[in-house]
Amino acid sequence: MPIYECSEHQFIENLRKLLDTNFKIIVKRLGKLHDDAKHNISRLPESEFTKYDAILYKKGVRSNVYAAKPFYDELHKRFYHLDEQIHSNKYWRAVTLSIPYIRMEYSFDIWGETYCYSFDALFQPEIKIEKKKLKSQQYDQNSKSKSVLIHVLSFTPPSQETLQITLPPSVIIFDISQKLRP
Amino acid sequence: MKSPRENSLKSLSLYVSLESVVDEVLKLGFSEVACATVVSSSKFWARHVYRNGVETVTVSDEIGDADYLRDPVVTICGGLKTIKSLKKLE
Repeated sequence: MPIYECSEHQFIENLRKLLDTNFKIIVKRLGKLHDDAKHNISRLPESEFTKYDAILYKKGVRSNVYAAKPFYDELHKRFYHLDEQIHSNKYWRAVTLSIPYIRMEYSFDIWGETYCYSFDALFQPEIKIEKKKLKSQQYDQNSKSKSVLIHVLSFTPPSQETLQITLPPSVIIFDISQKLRP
Repeated sequence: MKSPRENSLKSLSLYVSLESVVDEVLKLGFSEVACATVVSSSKFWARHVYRNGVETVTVSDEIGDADYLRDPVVTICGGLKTIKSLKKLE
């Protein structure tokens, strides 16, 4: 069964053409949380990278990324030292800081063919200065566990509205958790 | 048969600036309810969702350092008046 990948514009227009001919369409919606470093920090456009400016820096476009300040990544429970390499452009598999995202896939089947549109909605970073109790091995090997005032990076999930494509009530939406292929 | 009140679906790829699209959307009485950064077709997009009662307009604008001509993608689930007004920008 052929599967055709569409852009947002193509997917919606294909759907509209079918609706205009009074077809009853079932759209399958699949949303899944990922945290696999697919979207690495050095490949972010500048306008996105600036959201991390308080704690990260890089020397050029698509170059290594370093910690501008000591900070704690709350999601991955990891402490980063000042100037620690966060992402290596050369050894890109050695990514240490992953941006979580929700992958949304919309698809419909017609005449034995599948048309789909997918996108990844990135979690947004939130950087605060907080008092955190860090273990000795996380913060300083020579010291005991202690509370320190530190930059804390956390991530906020994208809102539901941005994950949804609003469709007319004549389109039936089925939520699914996995696609199985024979 | 589609009831006259049922929203229609339309997607527009507009070769106009994001500002003029947003101006038109706001003029139609919509207000922004959410925004997210999404990655689709290997490109980064700022996805803005606008609502006006039962009508929804999504404006996706490409972000990044590329200097080629960009076209905001507008997806409308709304009345014919909304679709006509935004189609005029084409």
